[in-house]
Amino acid sequence: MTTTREFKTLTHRGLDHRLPPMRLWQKAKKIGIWNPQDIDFRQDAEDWKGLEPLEQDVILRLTTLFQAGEESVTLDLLPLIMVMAEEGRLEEEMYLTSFLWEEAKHVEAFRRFVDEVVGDPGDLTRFESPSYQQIFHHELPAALGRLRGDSSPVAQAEASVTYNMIVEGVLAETGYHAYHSILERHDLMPGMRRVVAHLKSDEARHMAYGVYLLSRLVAEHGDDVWKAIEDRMGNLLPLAIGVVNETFDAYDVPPFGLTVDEFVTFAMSQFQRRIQRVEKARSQTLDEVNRVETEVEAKIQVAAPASI
Amino acid sequence: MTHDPPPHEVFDDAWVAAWVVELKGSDAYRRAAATWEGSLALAMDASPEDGLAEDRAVFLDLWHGDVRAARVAEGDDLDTADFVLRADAAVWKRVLDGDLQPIFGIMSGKLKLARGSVAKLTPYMAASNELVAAATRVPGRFPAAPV
Repeated sequence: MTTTREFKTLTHRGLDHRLPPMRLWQKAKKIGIWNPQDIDFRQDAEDWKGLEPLEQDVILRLTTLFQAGEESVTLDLLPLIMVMAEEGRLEEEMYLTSFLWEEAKHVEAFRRFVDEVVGDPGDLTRFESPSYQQIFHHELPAALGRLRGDSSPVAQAEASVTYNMIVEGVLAETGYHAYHSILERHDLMPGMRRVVAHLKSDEARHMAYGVYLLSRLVAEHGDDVWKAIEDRMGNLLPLAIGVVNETFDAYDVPPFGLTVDEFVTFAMSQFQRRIQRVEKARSQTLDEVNRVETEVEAKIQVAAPASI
Repeated sequence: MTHDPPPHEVFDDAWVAAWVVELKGSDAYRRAAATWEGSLALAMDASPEDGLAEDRAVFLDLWHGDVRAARVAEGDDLDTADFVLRADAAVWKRVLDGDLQPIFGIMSGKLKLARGSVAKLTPYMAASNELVAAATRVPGRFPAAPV
């Protein structure tokens, strides 16, 4: 009888609980447990009826961008998980199971909002702008789909930049900021605010994983990977900022006092913190990356989002 | 085999004039900047230890793919330009070597957008890339550190 596979958990190595993805996995099991079906949207429905048409339009536009975005990331993530499995990175694959599960819950939460608060919104594809379509119809599925035939470090880095740094790190975070600006400041829609609080908590772990993955790839494979990251960012950042601009272009005077500069400035500040961590990996060993990312990960929200 | 050093220092009068020649001969720039109406200044921070005793800057008045004016910045150019990008010599060298894309430089904080907003600059990002591409074709020396 021949043995063709070695199972890590049958060896003395076992699971490495010190790795940042394992620590994220522990958090996902504790604070990522929420059920979209438990969100109470009754007050949201009442609030919706009291909004002006333009105010309804901006909330529905924002919700649509999230709805399609969450569906897209749910559909597109699997090739990255398969790469981790093929490379025997059990701890990363374990964390990524919660990652995908959480994205699926986000899809469900937004669709519940549309069905139970908005009612019949008509064809929502009318809200997809050119830059949005380029990212979600082309760039994201192409970057993740490429991994099925090319799992090179550069391909992994370009996929992670697209998914974690651009879609989650710029677009989603800017979107949360928009929901916060609209709903918190105007004390509206407690159900959606609860959803957004959960999403922010989930996505904080997702982006921590993305920064870890990119940092690991840079530490392991050097400047070829870093150059690929820079180039990919340079190509996608105009599209990401384009999504924000095109969203605001739809309004002569954006409702709720929203301003485009506030959102772009917010997106930049979030982006800068993360890319600076990835860049530091150029001079770090893998052990140093693990230590730094573990320290950062320890600061990520440890409790479930507070009730609203 | 030795190479002569480039004849101009970056951001000086002769370098700016050579850059304008490149821009006016660039179909790619003309197409990318077809809707750009406004002014842009590039500023290099003083760094005496690197041989740059004072800030140095260039000013461009851009109009629908053409360059209406270009000069070493003077007077209130840096206070009136629609966009001012500022960085030290090391970052500008990366940009002018084609090693750092402007939008990535801005978003990562290496290039400071000292005037103007990213949201307003983003629609001109393809034009910005062509501006830089033309600049990379202009030989230019960076200030030398004092011996």
